[in-house]
Amino acid sequence: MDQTPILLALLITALPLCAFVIQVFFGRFLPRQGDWLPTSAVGAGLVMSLYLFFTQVLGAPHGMEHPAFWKMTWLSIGETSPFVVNFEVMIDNLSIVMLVVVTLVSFLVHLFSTGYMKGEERYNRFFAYLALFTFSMLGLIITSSMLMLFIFWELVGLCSYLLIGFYFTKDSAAAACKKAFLTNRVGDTGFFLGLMMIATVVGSFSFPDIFDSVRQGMWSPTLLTIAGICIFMGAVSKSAQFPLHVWLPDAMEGPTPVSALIHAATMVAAGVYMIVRMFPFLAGWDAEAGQSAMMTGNYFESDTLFLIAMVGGFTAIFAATIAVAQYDIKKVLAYSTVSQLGYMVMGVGVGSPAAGMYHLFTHAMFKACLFLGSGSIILAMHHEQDMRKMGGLRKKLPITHITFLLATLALSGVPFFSGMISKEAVLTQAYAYWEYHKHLSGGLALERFLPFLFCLVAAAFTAFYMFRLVIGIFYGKPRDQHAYDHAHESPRTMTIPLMVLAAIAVIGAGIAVPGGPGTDWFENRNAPEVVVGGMMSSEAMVPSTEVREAWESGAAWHDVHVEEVPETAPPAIKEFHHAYHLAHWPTFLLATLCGILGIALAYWIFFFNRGKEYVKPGGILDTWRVWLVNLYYVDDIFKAVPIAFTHWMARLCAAIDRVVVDSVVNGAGILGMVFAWVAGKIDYWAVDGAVRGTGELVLAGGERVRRIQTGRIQDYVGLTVFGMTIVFVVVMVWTNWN
Amino acid sequence: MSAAGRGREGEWALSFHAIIFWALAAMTIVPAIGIVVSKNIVHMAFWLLGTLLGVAGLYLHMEADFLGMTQVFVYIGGINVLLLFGIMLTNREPLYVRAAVKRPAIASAVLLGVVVAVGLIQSFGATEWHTVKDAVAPGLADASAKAVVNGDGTAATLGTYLLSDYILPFEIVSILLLVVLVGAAYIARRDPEGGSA
Amino acid sequence: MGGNTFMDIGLGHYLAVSAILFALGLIVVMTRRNAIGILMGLELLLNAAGINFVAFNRFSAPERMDGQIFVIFIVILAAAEAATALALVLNIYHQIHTANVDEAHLLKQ
Repeated sequence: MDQTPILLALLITALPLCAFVIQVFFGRFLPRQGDWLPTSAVGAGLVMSLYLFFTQVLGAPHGMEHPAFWKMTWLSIGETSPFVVNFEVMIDNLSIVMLVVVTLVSFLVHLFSTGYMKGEERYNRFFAYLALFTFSMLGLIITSSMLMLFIFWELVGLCSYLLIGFYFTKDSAAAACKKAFLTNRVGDTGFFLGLMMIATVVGSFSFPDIFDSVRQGMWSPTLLTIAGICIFMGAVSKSAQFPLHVWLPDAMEGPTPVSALIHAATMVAAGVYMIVRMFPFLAGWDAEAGQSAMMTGNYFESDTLFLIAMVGGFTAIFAATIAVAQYDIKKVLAYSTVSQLGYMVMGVGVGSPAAGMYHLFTHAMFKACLFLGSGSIILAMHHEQDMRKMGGLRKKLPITHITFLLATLALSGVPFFSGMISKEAVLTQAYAYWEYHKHLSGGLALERFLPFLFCLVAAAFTAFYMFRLVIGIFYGKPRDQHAYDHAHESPRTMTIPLMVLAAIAVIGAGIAVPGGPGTDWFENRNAPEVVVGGMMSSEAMVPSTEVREAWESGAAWHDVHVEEVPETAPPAIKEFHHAYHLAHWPTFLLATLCGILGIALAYWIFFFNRGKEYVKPGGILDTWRVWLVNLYYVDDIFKAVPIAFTHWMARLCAAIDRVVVDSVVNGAGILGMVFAWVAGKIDYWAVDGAVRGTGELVLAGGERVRRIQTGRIQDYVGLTVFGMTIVFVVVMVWTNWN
Repeated sequence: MSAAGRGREGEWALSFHAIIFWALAAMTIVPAIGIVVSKNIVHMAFWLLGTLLGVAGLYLHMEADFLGMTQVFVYIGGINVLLLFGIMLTNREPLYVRAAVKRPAIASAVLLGVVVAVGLIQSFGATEWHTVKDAVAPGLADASAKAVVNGDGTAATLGTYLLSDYILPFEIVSILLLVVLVGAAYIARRDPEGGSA
Repeated sequence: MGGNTFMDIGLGHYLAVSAILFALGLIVVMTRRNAIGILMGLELLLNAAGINFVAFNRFSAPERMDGQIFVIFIVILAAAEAATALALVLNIYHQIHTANVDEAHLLKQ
């Protein structure tokens, strides 16, 4: 097998690590504090990733069919049937796409940071952490062992801790990084439990082995569901899904480039990547067919995936509404990220990891652009993050303005932009999911409609809050004249990343199409999904030939051009393809409508200043506004619940004490009095003299024995040994006699 | 090789083996007695050095080469030096301790010691131990002996044991050492506000 | 082979050495006032146990090396114990200016 992908992947991963080691020890002594070293290391990684992408993924019609493997034994525990832990690398289409995303965003963030962080304290340390962060994420991508993934997963967590708390002298930053770390531990506990279940049942951590075990029915369906949910818990915390999303907005305490890196490519993407990678596992067991779901292509009836879809959908709408009421521009973007992650997770949940991945890809580009753009704004405004103090900045920051606007259009799902296509992929899948279940159950299957509904409404909210942000920052009159007068466009190192990302945000639609952007945009708007779908179709993800053929033909993955599903395709896929056809047009129209509605509403309220009376105290939306400003009280609940629980426990203990212990004590007291009375009588009448004699004996004996209690530890040792010797002698004599 | 020849050679090896054992036993016991009777704590530490070396020799004599080396490194190189440091840091005045406790206490301790020693030796002698062979000379059935004769040493086998059958205790002990490291550093640290010493 | 006690070195001989060492260690532990002296006695006790482990391993079950593994753990624990104990002694010394255990008789009060 061609080992080039493996070698390149290892090199891509190793370069940032080397850069980190050099930077952390010698960075201070290098020219420019060594910022060029991690930047160029990641840049070289980007070049190699792109080479891999173009030769391996786009080189073949459906990408690499056979993933490249390489492994090295790391630990082998036990003698007869050893439990082997391998150091494993697997490169398939999915890893290569992720490699490109991570190295691209990371490289641009590095570049941006050379301008943004200029003159900051611990400048060299910042770049060292960035390199380590990139390394951890790359390691997480290229490995094919769940255990290795977990290790890198934790490393990513550590790096985010270091970077969020980069300004650790600020109390809020110190608290935020602690919060991020601890919240992630909650999910990781579940993840680790799932890992242990896998280790117990499968006896290996390797992805192919895990998928094989599912295929061969080594799992009981119940345990498989439980393990899947446990694994998903890891993604809930890492990808900031409800209710563990609380750390992500607080993570805004870190420097802005770090926010871009965390939100676009590394930390939060890790969770989505993990559930995409584990998709065959999460899809579970198809009870009807008596086979694993990935053999029958039926991804639509798994309980685990349904839970994932619900969590994702709920997070999408939940966070989107909160973002409406935020004034800190970074907080708006943070909640926007949480919401968009909800889309990705829901996409996986409704049975389309390809759609989820595609949204991850496009979102990484425009969200990185938005965050870096906000960094540029914040720098121009001298570290002011409140949008109420901005306004009219489009004349002062022309490049930032244009790029920010383009990324916003992409995020809002406006047609002709990449965001629309990926978002629509997710939504169509969700709608088809409902159609499929409607058909299956014969009823309305309303609970299966919820993910779609959530995300559709969230789409309107997304457009609304993003345009609220853009209007607030760039249009209208300057609200802080002094800051406005001193604002100036950022240096070239910061605007170039913005332009690159904005360009990708626009043409991201066509970038994955073989042969470049299509001539007829609307005809081709599904092409990228087909390619991303093809990226999933390597044998690492789909071991069944029939499913793979269906996948490659595009039938399983939403190609409108495919009218006929291959004959060999499993029934579930044929069924779903039908549902998908029904879903296509309604979703596109609805999603576009929602987006336009949101934008129009934002203009109506913030540009023309209408409708303010509804949110004033006493207005019909006021209660909701209060809830939004308080973030739906999730943080408060997290703070209050442990306290309330402790109080409740204390009351419970007190009650037990009062009812049970007290009555026992009282009862014992009464019993003792009765006994005492009886004993007193007997004592008085019968054994008075004898008792007194015994008492005196005991007293005298006690006086003797007391002397042994010297408090010298050595005496106690001596006595212990002496006692043991006596016991020993007795035993010896006893055994010899018998 | 004839039976007689082997016998004679065996006898010679046997006596040599025995002589070394007695030498090592003396090397272990005599310094130990020195520890008991010594009045100077530094002398005690140096006597302890002798005993530890003797024990290391006994380990080697039992074909436990890795253990012998570990004994030298850890006990003599680590623990004994640590003890010497402790002595230097805690003795205000003379590096010399009085015979410590009162005479009756000493007498009872010695008595107890003698009883224990005699009792143990007596019972050891009285018990029929399950022994694989009357191993009077190094035999090749012995796993560690084989390793030593082959020149591999026991380290490889012990390493395999530690990372397979004994992986859990091994990991626990690693954590214990970490805890001790932190704990000892914390306890021994002089309290900056306490102002003592 | 004859039953010459001085020439046929077997399990019993090692056990005897270990017993004597143990008894001596015991005496040291019981008679010293200085905490570090007591520690030395403890080391003797641990060494005596170690000799027993290796001897039984060597003579009773030579096909495996479990006894030697135990000695490794004993050595590790001894190191841990010595470090902790010395830290404690230092701490006590800072507080009451002595390393003699009978002057640190807070247990008695």
